Amino acid sequence: MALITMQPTRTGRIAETVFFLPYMLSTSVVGTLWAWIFQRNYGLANQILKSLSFEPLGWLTDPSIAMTSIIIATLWWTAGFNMILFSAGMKQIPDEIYDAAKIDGAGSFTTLIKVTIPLLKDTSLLVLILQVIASFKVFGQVYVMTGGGPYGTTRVLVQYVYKTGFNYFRLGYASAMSVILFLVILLISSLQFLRKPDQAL
Amino acid sequence: MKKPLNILVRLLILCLIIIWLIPLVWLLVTSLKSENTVMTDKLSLIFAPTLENYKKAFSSTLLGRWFLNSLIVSVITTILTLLIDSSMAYVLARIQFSGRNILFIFILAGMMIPFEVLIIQLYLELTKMGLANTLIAVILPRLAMPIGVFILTQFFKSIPLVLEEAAFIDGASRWTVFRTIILPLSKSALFAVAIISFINAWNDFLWPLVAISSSEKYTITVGIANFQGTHGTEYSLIMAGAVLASIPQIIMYILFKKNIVKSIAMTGIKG
Repeated sequence: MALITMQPTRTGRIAETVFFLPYMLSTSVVGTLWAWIFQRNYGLANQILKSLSFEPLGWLTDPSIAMTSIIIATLWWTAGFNMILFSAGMKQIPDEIYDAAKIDGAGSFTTLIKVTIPLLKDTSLLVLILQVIASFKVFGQVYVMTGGGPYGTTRVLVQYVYKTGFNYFRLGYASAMSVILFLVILLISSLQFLRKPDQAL
Repeated sequence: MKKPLNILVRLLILCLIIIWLIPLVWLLVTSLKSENTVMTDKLSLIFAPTLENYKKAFSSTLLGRWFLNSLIVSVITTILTLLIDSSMAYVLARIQFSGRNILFIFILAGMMIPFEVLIIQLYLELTKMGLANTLIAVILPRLAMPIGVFILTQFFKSIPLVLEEAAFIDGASRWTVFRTIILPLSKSALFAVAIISFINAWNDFLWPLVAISSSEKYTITVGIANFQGTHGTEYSLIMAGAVLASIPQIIMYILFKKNIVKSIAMTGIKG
C-alpha cells in the first residue's frame, strides 16, 4: 500500500499546478470521479480499452484488480503532495554542488543519479514515512469506490473500524482496533526522529 | 538545475501532465453532458453542452443545502481556529508561567494522534453531550489544530520584543498589544493557518460521515458520496455535484496557489 511517487520536480510551473490540483479535491470527490472512470459499461477506462480493442475490465468488481484501481486513484490524488516535498528538498541543495558536478564533466542524467537523488535521501525518507502513515489512514476512496468489496479484497483498517463501530455497533472492539492503529502509526512516525535533525518540517 | 531540459524529458513531462488532466476534463465533460448522451455517446468530446445537471442538482437534490452546510462548517471552523490558536500561541510565546514548556509539548504531542483513531471516542462523547447529528458536532473536534498553535507560536516568537515594550510604556494593555501589534504583523502566518483549517474542514469526509445521520445536515462531501446510493446511474448529475463540491478549493487554489503550496510544504499535512 505504500504509494511512493517520484514526480520529476524539474518541471515548470504548469506541471506543478496540474499535479497539485487533485490534492485540493476532497476524497469523496476523488472517489466518485474515479468510480465513474472505472464504471463497467460507460466509464472512461473501459471505453479507452474498447477503442483499442481490448477486453473491458471489471475495474472495481474484479477482486484481483480492485485494489490496483484504488491505488491508481490514490496516486493521482496525492502525487502532487509528495512532489511539493521533493521540490522543497531540492531547493535546499546548493547550486555550487551542481556547478562542481558540471566542472567534473557530469551530464544531466549522471548529475541526477549521482548528486540529486543521494542528496534527497532525507526527503525521501520523510516522504516514505508520511506516505506509509497516510496509507494506513486511507478511508474515503475505498468507502466511496468499492465499500471494501468485492469480497472484502479492498477492505482497509479505518473502514473496518468504521464498519465495526457504526454498522455493527461493536464500539469496544472498534476502539481496540483504533488503539492498535494508533500504535502502529506512532511507531512509524517515531522513525522520523531517526532523521538527522536538519531542515524544519 | 537551471539547465534547459532536453526534448525527451519535455515530452515525458507533457505526457504526464496530460494523463493528470484527463480525469479532471472527464469530470467536467460528463457534468456538462445530458443524461442520455453519457450512456450512448462514446469518447467524443463533441456534444451539446448543457447545464441541466447543475439545475437538477439544485432543484431535485439537497445539494444546495449541503453546500451551505459545508460553508457554515468551514467558515466557523476557520474563524474559531484562528481565534483559539492565535491567543494560545501568544500566551505560549510571550507569557512566562510554570509548566509552559510542558503545555507546549503536550499540545505538539496532539499532532502525533491521527484523527482517524479518535472517531469512535469522539462519537460517544458528542452523543453523551447531546450533540450527535448537529453541525456543532462536525465543527467542535476540528477546532483542536495543534499545527496551527505551533506555526503561530514560532511566528510570534520571531517578532521583536522591542515593538511590544514600546507599546507597554505608552500604557497599552496586553490585549491592545496583541490586537494592534502582534496580529497585524502576523498576517502571513495567520493566513497559512486559515487556509489549512478551511481546506481541512471543507474536505473532511470521515468525521461528518460519522457525526451526521440525517441527510439535510450532510456536508457536501458526505452528500456527494451518498449520491451514488440514491442516484446510482445518473453519472452526469453526480459529476455536476462533484464539480460544485470542488468550486471553493479550486477558487482558493487559483487565488492563493503559492501560499497553499508553501503552507502545505511547511506543515506536511496529509489528508
